[in-house]
Amino acid sequence: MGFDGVLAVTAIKGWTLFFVIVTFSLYVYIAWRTRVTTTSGLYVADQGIPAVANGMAIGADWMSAASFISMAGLISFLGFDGAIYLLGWTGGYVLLALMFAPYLRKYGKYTIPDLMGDRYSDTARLVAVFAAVFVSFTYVAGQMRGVGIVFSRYIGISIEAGVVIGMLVVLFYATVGGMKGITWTQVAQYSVLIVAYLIPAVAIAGKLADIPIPHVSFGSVAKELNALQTDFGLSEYTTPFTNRPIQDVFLVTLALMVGTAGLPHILVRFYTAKSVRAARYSAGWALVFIAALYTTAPAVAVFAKTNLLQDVAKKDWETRPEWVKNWEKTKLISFKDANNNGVVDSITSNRAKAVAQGQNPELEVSPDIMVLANPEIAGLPAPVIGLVAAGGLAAALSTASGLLLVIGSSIGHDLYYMRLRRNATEKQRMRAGRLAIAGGVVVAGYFGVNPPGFVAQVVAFAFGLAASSFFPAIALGIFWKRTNSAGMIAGLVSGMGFSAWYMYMTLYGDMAPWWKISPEGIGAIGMVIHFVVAIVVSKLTAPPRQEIQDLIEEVRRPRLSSAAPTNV
Amino acid sequence: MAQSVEDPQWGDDKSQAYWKKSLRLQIVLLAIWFVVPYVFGILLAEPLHDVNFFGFPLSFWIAQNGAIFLFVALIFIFANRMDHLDHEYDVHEEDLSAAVRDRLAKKASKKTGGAE
Repeated sequence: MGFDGVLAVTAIKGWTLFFVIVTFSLYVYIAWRTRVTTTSGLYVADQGIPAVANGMAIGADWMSAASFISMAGLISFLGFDGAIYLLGWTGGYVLLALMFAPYLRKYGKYTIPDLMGDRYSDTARLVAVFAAVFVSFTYVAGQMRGVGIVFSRYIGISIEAGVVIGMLVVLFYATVGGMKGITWTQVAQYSVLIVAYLIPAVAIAGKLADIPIPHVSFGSVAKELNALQTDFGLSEYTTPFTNRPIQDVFLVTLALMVGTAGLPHILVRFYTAKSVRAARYSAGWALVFIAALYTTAPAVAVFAKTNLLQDVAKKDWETRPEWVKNWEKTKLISFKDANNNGVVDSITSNRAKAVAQGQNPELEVSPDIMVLANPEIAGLPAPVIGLVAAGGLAAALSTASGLLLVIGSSIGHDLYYMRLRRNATEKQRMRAGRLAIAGGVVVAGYFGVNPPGFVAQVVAFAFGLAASSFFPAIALGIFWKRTNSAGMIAGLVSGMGFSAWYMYMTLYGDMAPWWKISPEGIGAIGMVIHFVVAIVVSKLTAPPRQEIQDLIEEVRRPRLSSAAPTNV
Repeated sequence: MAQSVEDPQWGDDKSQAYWKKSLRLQIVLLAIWFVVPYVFGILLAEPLHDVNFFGFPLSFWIAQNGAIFLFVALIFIFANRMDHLDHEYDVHEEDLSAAVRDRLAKKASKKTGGAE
């Protein structure tokens, strides 16, 4: 690295520090301004968030470090089949808006286990607490790790130190601000992350095509990329089912969509809207804000892959451009010249997997680079790179805080108050809620430092399990009055049990997948099993009590038709 | 809490009619939600790949961009239609602002030929 290189790195570090300090101070300030004193504020932001702000908070809650950093890169190696993420992680909002949001808001309590307890039984509440905590922990571990990685890559401290800094910030604003603080912080975090995502995307679109609007120009660039890929011996980028068979694309997409509509940290956001009407529109605004990133990501994927192939494919490795050299230092790009001709002949995103399949690819490129290296490829100045780092941190922190609140409310509200201390005072309940959140932060930080196995696989678990547990249970609870507790629990145990068993057996048990269905897609089958078993068992046992049926009637309408709106 | 069911203003018939209309809307929108991405974007992806859509292979565009725009539209159509339905059955909440209420009322009276 020459003198210019040292200067550039120092400038990037400086700008990253600048943006991190500014944004973190903002988050802490917002939490202090919105600090809460009641359990309603702590758990559901006093049910007073307007639709647009609630939608923006959902967007930040939803888009994690994986969406921000990894998704476009994953898509660029999957081509057409990357649609599983694009469709799977957006389509669930239609289910949420149409099937859940208005009714959850009308029901209007604190947690999803509350709903399961009132609609079904106390046993169902306990099962729901367990499922909510399990799903949230599997998900949050990856977020804290993501914070650590961004810190270590851009500021040069250790991953562990980065995790601890992230923990301290989240600890402060989640316990002081509660759901109210988290919601308004997420509004700020969304703004940071979307600006950080769109600036490099537009710059790259301008570099590769005549029209600097990524959504318009990636069609023509994709055609160039098809030709590049064919020349390089890869399949055409836009051709479907080159990486996954058609039935697997179908089922994984369905499992991710339905799983989205069953994730407790998203479901709970419809309690925080200020009315039933606002809950419906919240879901719409949430998807507008999510789509801003999700419709840009496939364009970024095409641009990044085109850049990469143009810069290295069939080229002499010695002549590789500067950005490739920079990222080589992080070991996210590595070159092994299999035939000693000095030329890049083949490429993979995962060398270990390719070798296991009997191939011997020369160049390995981590999917994570595709977004992070974009500003350098487009020749953008150091401040933009610093902003991208702050965007990655915003994405990770906002998702982590939403998940930690679910953990806190499940333990502080559903376990401590509803099961153990029904006579606890408001003050004791506040303290329990805050302690539970703090406990969650510590455990999440531990998993961030010692990540359990392969984090990406664990997140796939979370979606499959949510798809085969919460989604059918809530859908039946609202739309079929006859569903009873026995039916729901039987359905949940068989559906979720089947999904978990299949995931375990195919990932760790050496079982060959059935009909090429990957473990990520099995949640769709688990969901069907849950529905069938729940309906059959409910039919065979007694219908739910009259007051439960009345509760269902009640949540189906935004307001009673008589003059005064009543408090439920 | 259970008083709503015996609410004299709200007979069983009316309650069922509101619920049925809202269900019908949900079913129609969910059918579109399913057909576009799953049938056109995935099941028919191979034949539709050869169809040119503004420079994109059609199925590629649907699966990576078009369906997402459609999802957004479906949710806003639902929220808007439910505003009408809530108003028609007088179950709307306070935050349905006066301006929106007036507009809905005007539309409703136009539909019935100004008879109300």
